[in-house]
Amino acid sequence: MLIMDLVEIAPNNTGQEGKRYSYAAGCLIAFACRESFKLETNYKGFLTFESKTKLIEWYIENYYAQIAMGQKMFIEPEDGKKLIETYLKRG
Amino acid sequence: MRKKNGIELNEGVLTNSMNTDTKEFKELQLFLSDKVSALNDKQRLSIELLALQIKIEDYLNSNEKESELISVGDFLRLYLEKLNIKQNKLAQYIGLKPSNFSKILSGSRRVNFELSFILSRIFQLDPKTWMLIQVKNEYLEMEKQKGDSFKHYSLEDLVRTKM
Repeated sequence: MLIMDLVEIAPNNTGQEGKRYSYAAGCLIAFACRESFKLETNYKGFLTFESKTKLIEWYIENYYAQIAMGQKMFIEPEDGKKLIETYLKRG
Repeated sequence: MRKKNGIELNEGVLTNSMNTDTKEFKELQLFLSDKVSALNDKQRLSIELLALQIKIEDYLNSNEKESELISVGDFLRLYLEKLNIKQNKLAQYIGLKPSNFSKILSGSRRVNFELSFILSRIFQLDPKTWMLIQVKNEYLEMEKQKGDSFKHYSLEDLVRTKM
């Protein structure tokens, strides 16, 4: 399975004030989803990761993530496809 | 994108590192295995189609000098294999003689725009896809075989030449 082990965005892409790029986090998560489709195992298209406690709801609301157990989350292939369309195929 | 619930990112690190050497991780694997088993045929097909589309996109975007040549036929065979479709069935469906379709698979016959449109329609790709693979491969072949033999051509030389 593909594990999104560390995702970090630059400080100037966080917060409300003066944010430079709005879609940095989405693009990184969508990129990881895209990589998951390259797996040649049964888990093709599934992305897993362990969320920071306070970001669990943020992942659910914004990136279709679901809770597997505790802070461990996953994104299903159909939802990964939506994220790829939204963030990586923007015109 | 869904409406945000007001959680604002204030720090850059978005994940914890996952320890894969734990009982909990084994449970996660089992949990996801169940999710995989629950996929229906339509969902499995959609996953394979996107996986193949990504493979083609990566091939078309790859560094030309380093990329290993993958022919139109190679990609078509992958579609047939992953989607469990017989070669002759596809040939008949698109109105080609099986022998002619074999030539496309082997590379001895070129894909034309009409066929590129049809195959792209079936496999849910951009209509230009098969032509782009073909053009890239022909370019790579030409570069490899005759690239150096064109080096003496230049605009400067053309202007200088008296005819």
